[in-house]
Amino acid sequence: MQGRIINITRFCTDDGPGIRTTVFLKGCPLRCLWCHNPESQNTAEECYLNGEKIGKTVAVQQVLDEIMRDKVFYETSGGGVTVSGGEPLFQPQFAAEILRRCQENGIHTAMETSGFATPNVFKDVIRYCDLVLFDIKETDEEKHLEYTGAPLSAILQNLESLNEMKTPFVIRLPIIPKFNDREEHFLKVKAMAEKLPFCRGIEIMAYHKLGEYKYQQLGREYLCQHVDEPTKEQIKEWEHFLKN
Amino acid sequence: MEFFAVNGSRNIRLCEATRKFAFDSLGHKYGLDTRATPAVTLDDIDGFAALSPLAQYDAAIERIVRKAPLRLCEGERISGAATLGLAISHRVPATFQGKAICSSISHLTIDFETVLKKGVDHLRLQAESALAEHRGTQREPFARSVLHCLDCMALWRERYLEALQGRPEFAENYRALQRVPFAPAASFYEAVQSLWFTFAFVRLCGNWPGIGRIDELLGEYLKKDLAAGRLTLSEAREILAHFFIKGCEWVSGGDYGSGDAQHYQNIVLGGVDEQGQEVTNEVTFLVLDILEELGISDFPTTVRLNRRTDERLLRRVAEVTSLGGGVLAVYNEELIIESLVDYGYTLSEARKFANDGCWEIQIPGKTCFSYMPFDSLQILQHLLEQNVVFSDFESLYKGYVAQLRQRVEQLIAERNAKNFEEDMSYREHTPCTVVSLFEQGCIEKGCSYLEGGPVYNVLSPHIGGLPDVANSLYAIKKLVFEEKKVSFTQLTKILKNDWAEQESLRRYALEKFTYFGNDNDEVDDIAAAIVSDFADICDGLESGYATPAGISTFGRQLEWSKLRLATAYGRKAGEVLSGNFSPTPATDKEGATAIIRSYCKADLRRIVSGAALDIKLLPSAAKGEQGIAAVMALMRGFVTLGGHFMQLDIADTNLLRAAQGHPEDYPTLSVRISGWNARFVTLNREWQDMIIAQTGSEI
Repeated sequence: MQGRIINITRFCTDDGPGIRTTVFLKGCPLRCLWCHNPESQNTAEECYLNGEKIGKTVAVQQVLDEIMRDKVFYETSGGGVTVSGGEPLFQPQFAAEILRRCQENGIHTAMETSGFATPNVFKDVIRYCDLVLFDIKETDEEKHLEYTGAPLSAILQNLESLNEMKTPFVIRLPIIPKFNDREEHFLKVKAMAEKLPFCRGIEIMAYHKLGEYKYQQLGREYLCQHVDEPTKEQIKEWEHFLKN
Repeated sequence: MEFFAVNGSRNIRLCEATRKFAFDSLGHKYGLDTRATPAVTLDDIDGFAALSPLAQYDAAIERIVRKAPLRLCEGERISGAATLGLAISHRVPATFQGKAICSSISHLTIDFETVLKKGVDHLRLQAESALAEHRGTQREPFARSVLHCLDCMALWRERYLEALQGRPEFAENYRALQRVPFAPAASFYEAVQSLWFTFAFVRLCGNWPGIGRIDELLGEYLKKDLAAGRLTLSEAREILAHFFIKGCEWVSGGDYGSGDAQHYQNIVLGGVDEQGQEVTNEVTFLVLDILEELGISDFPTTVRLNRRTDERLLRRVAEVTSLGGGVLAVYNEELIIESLVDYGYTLSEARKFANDGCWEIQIPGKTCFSYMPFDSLQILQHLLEQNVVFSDFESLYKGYVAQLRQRVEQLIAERNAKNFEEDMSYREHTPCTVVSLFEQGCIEKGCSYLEGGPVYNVLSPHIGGLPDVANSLYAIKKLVFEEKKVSFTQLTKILKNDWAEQESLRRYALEKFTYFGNDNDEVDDIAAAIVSDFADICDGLESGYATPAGISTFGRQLEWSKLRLATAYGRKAGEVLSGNFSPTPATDKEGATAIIRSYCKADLRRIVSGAALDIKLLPSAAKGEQGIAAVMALMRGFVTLGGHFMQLDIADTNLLRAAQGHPEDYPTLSVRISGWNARFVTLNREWQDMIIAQTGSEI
């Protein structure tokens, strides 16, 4: 089986516990206005304006070979593999096969996802995950559609089924000033987390502009130019609010 | 008063006075006085020029102990100081008609164990019976010199006692020095004073000894004092901190070498003892507390790890590492012990290993060590210049190994020839009785450290530039033999012309292939093959010395860069390339785990002298709980995969550039260089630039 990836990054320490290898899949059904990986949105292979190719088609076995290289470090750190993107659920069979094969080899598996997929597709992939990093971009129906181009309801349904499947998960909250830095949104997320016992915590992913240059290289317009990066104090305040 | 940390902040456990002593010492309050007193003079000694070199040396040592200034720092808990500046330049600091009388000794860890446990008086007894035995033989002058130098050490001690007497603030120092180092140490405090005074004496006379396994040396004393209620842990920490602070006494050596002042005074922690029992004790943790709090880089410290290393110890090592400064490094002791046993040492002897004051492996107090560094990349470049055309990769590789063999054999032959013709003269002109006092074998045999006195005599060929050779051979394999982008002859011409008008091919070579340090088996296997072939060559050498293989550059890539041509993997002539057995700067793209994997593919058991891996992590990767866990995991993985020696530093080019621009703001920022580390701002510009080039930057 083959799939399309952006790249595979080793020695990641921010995508789940321990030392991890993160596989970035190409293609995403969402179009978040603030997306910092715009090159991962289209499933098709493409090029930056300078001609540099983005994305490659690879076999599951090739991905596995690369992942297996750091097995010693997963063992010494309690780490493993994280499938990210793009949106891994957009290539569900490929993602599931990577995760399944990793589990078979005794490697801890995590997936970073927006949760946007049909319930069956979602479950078919989740069954091979030891941990899910679940992004919630917005808790207001209309705003979610406006910011991401996708409806919220399917996502929330999947979040609940994650809990039913007894898969531990962490809610990741991208916070974009003026878009979703509202108390009412935070309160809703907190309430959700509290009623789902398999939720292991909430992590803040504060907005940053590091992806802006990629829009230029892709010849695309960056729609969040006017948004300022939050200050350290602001991030601390959010963290404080979500913890208490 | 803040001690610099790259990440987080440093825990405070020491009292304010000790912290101030540390801060002042790191800020060069003490030590600059050595510039005013570089050496004692021997000009007034009648007939000095006609004396034998050994008699000149004896006169010099006596003059040094009688005339060297004494230094008592405010509030110091232990006393003794090496106050003559020429010692910092590796000379016996005594001059005749303006010239230092001879060079001094480094690259050894002396036998402090005997000093602490039996006292210098025990050495005197040994020396007296040796003199009786050697009287009337050609060994007699040395045997007399031994007794003379022991007398000199006693004279120096007398001067300190006089200076300390009647000063209530130094009452404790006075009491201890009345006994040690001549009597066996009876307490932890006396042991620390004995260790320091002996170390300072050896350095006063110009030499640069390492310390060795400080926790093994001091652990029992602390245990007894704690059990008897004579001492608390925090009091012990204060005392030991003064040892580390006193160790900053030599400040920048100016233009000498890299410009820093750390002179091979490395310390080893942890690991198993002679019987295979874990050494780690409270002293181990006190040392880590001190390094954590003060970030003193002048005793670079290496921790012996094994697969059973206690979680608590590893965590402390990772915590201190994550603060930055590169003070800590790690040995994989299982591989090292195996490697020493394979080489012929007994198991109990192998388990005692420490280093030469840098990171090269030796049995402390028993080894005369020196090494012969050479640039293996220049060997390849000479081969390519010879207009020999290789038609396939295998014959090129074989041709290279033949040249490598020739070069190593030639090095050892030159050394052997020197031994027979010039060596006696060299040895006579380099008397070294002071270090010989503390090297097992010398006193009994009546032979100095350089004359074969120690139990083991080691001359280790050290290959440098090995990753650059692997990368070059791999690039040739790809460009010439596989992809046929260019013919062998064309490529050698292009390299001779430093890639002139070949920019696109150069970029292709540089960017298209994945070089050593990225876990690419194809190139890593070439590096591994060179390692094994080099070890074979070393094992087959004929010499009166043991000639174990080693892999190092110790910063020599800087001077070598001026002699090197362009490389086939796209680097231009004159670039500063790989250090030790680490990836060439800017070719490692897959991160720390891939670097460790590439390095560990070589059979490092064969590299008995050692193979250093330098890794620089960005501050963010080592930050916080996640970062500490990652550092621990890298160290455990390094042991599991069969590494030898690893120095993990935490740095970022932006920070280093800021320190270069505003040294006054970063007086205590230290960086790992190779087997040692230095306060960054004391380094010469060239060395600073090299370190910056080896370091990555946060986006």
